[in-house]
Amino acid sequence: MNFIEPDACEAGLKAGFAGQLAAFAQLARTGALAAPAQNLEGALLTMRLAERLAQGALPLG
Amino acid sequence: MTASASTPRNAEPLRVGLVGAGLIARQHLLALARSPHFTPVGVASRTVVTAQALAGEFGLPVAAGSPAELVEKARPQALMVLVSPQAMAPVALQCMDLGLPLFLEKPVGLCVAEAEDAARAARETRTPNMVGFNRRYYSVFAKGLDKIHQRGRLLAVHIEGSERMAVARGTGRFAEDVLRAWLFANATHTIDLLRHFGGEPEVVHALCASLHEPLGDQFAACLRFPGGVLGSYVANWHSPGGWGVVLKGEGVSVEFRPLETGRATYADGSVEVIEPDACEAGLKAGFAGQLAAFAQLARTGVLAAPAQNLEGALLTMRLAERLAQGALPLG
Repeated sequence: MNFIEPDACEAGLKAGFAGQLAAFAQLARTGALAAPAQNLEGALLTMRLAERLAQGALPLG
Repeated sequence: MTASASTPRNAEPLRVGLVGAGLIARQHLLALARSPHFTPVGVASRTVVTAQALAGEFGLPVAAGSPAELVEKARPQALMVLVSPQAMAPVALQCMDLGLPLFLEKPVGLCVAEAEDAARAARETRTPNMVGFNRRYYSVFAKGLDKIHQRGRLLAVHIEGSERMAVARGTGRFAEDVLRAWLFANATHTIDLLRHFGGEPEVVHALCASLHEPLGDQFAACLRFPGGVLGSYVANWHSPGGWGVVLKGEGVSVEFRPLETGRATYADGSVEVIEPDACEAGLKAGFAGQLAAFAQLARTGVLAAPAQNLEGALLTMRLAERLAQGALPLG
């Protein structure tokens, strides 16, 4: 079995924080938000999907 | 189910005949050799030399060329029909005329219509019957459910039923019509577990796509079972993954992956391994329990849960058809 190892630069940090900071820096410098980053419009879509998944929740027995 | 639960004290073992002399018949003979419920008395196969070879290997007194000849010569009290998937439905119909309780290996047909015909014929001939969904008798499943119920109620059933189509095709063991109907021929093993753990689904939202297989090979479904228990079924037949079951309870999750092994994880992070019953060692899992259930059916006419007869098998076939409905080709 081959394991997929995280990047060495992530060691000791909360996973994903280094990459997300780099994306935020790019946004601040250029005004462009590159994938897979999400802005508020994208976050809203996720919130709406969450709402959709929970629609019509029935009490258990 | 234990021997004492289904066999009257001092009851003589039942004389059972086997129809079919292939790999699965051999597995059943290994289980029969250790069963207190049955004495195998003969085997029938269209190819008599195959029946003779298997009878010789297991010391069975009769090798026959047809089910009728087997019944005439060996005088069994029950029959186990263990032929190939494509022969199962017609041979099952043929055996219903013999007036004996039948154990039918699954699948009983390669489509819903064949299963409907078999179920109808069993009703009309009043043939006591049981279909071999042996996974319902895995001892680890019963123990895992106990652990869920010790803490409260069952909340969810999640099943992955990924088939290994490349392996199935590569063995050369299966005819093309069986491979094309793999949804019914083999995937019904895991689809039946949805009904086993959750009961009859009240709501099914199913999506299906097809990369290569005509009836679909990518499945994702959400289900609601009686009592509000939720379920999911996913299967991706051309990706590694295999079969797995996860049961969610109150403060406990139980996982069977592979299905023959169990592991309970509790809210405090502790993990407990669930061991199969010692009596299953060396046998195909579930075969001992399913034989006990068939013996009880043959003696009393009563088929006890979790066994399935042709009516139950038909419900599983229909659920499989529902999960595959509207399969879209993948772009």
